Amino acid sequence: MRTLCDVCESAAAILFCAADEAALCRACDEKVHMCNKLASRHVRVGIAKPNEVPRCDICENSPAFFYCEVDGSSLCLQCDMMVHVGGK
Amino acid sequence: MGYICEYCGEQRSIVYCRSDAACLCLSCDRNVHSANALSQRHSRTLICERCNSQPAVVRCVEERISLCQNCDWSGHASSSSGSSMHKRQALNSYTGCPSAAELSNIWSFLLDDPSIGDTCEQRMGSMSINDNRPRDGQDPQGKDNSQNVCAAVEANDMSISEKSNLLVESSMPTFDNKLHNMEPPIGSSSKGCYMGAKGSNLFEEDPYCDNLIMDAVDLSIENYEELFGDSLNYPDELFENENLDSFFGMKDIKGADYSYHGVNATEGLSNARVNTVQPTCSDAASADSIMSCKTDSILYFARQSSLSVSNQTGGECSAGDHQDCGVSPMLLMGEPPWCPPCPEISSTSTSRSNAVLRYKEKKKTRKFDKRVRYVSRKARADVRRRVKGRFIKAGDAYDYDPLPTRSY
Repeated sequence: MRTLCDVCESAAAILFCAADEAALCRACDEKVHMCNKLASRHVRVGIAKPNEVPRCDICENSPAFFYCEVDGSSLCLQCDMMVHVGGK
Repeated sequence: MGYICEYCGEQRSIVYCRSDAACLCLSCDRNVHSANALSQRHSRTLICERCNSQPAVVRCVEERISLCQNCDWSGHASSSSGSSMHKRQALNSYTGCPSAAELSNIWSFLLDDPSIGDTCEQRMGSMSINDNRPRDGQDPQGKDNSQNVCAAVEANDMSISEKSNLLVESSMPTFDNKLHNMEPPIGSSSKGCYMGAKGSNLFEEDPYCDNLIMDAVDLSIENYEELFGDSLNYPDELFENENLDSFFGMKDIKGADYSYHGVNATEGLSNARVNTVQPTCSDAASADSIMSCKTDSILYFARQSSLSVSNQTGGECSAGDHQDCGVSPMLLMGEPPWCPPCPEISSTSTSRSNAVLRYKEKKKTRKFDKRVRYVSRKARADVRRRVKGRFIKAGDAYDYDPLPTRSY
């Protein structure tokens, strides 16, 4: 199950624009963001493939949810709770 | 952020787009956000009239000013009953490409001021919104309207000759007082131009709105000019008035007083007043930083591992140093040539060179690790009784302090 582009709804989405709150394929991204200088300022991040999502550094099992700048590591929800809040 | 639209850099900014994080004039807002379906979803709102940089969230009814959160808190912070008791309304935002009429509906408080005068007629010809979309390429001043909407509007205009004959069918109460105060409609061509400049679908689709729209259009045209057009086209007047309220409230409009001759003179004024637009390079920089966070994480990892390695070697060095300190006194005792109280002084140079050579030889075989010289002594030491890590005499009682007698 791949995320579809929000504009054409036919191609797989590879970028996510936070300002527009939309997932876009390459062609639509060019169309949408290259048309004026305000849209070109939007920050777009890549969407990971469903089978290649980065895993937690500690348990290597669940997908990584947080990235801690101080520790420099990606953590899943459970490990993040354990490390930063403390658990039994 | 700032006084001037970030897109054209010419007109004063009116609305703030949260998604684009930009202050835009109405023309550019329309152009930018009608480009594609994604940009139409952006939410835009009015700009705070105090700081001219942040989106306004409330409208102070007493002061008739739209304020952002910060200006609202700072402006109404005084606990005196006057300031903090001001009634405030929440400001709406809009998406899509609304026409002037719709904008007046959203921000109906802008119509409450009885500021329409003879100036409206003069202002009519110079509409603010220049729509650059291909199908609406109209010169607001020109009479060559090819839009059928304009034709329809003009046809309707003909039927409305006197203001007193205007139908007041509006269901919007805010228009009522305005309608009674309205000036006679200006020439139909200019009105038609206005219609061409604005969105055309509005008037084609809705038959109910025909009469209503006429009133609304008249209303909004004049008000639009007052509210948005005047300042957009004549920012110098705005600066002259030194009154931000004049932008929306338009209390001070006197048509005869406005003059075009002051453009050059006040341009310098406007340049001095205008806040510098923040360069987009800062946004680009932040974009780059976000994009490269992944590489940063890799660098951080490398840095961390290198740090841990260096810690280890540092530890070893420190341990070795301690051992060296322990060793060196013994060497000192065992090497007579190094002893300072030596009566032999005659052959110091040769003995000194010998000593140095010996030192260098021994230096090569130094080992700074834990070395047990006498195994039997280690066995004894492991067995001995200790209190607080120190050896004690087995018989005496040492509860807390292995040195029961201390003399100071």
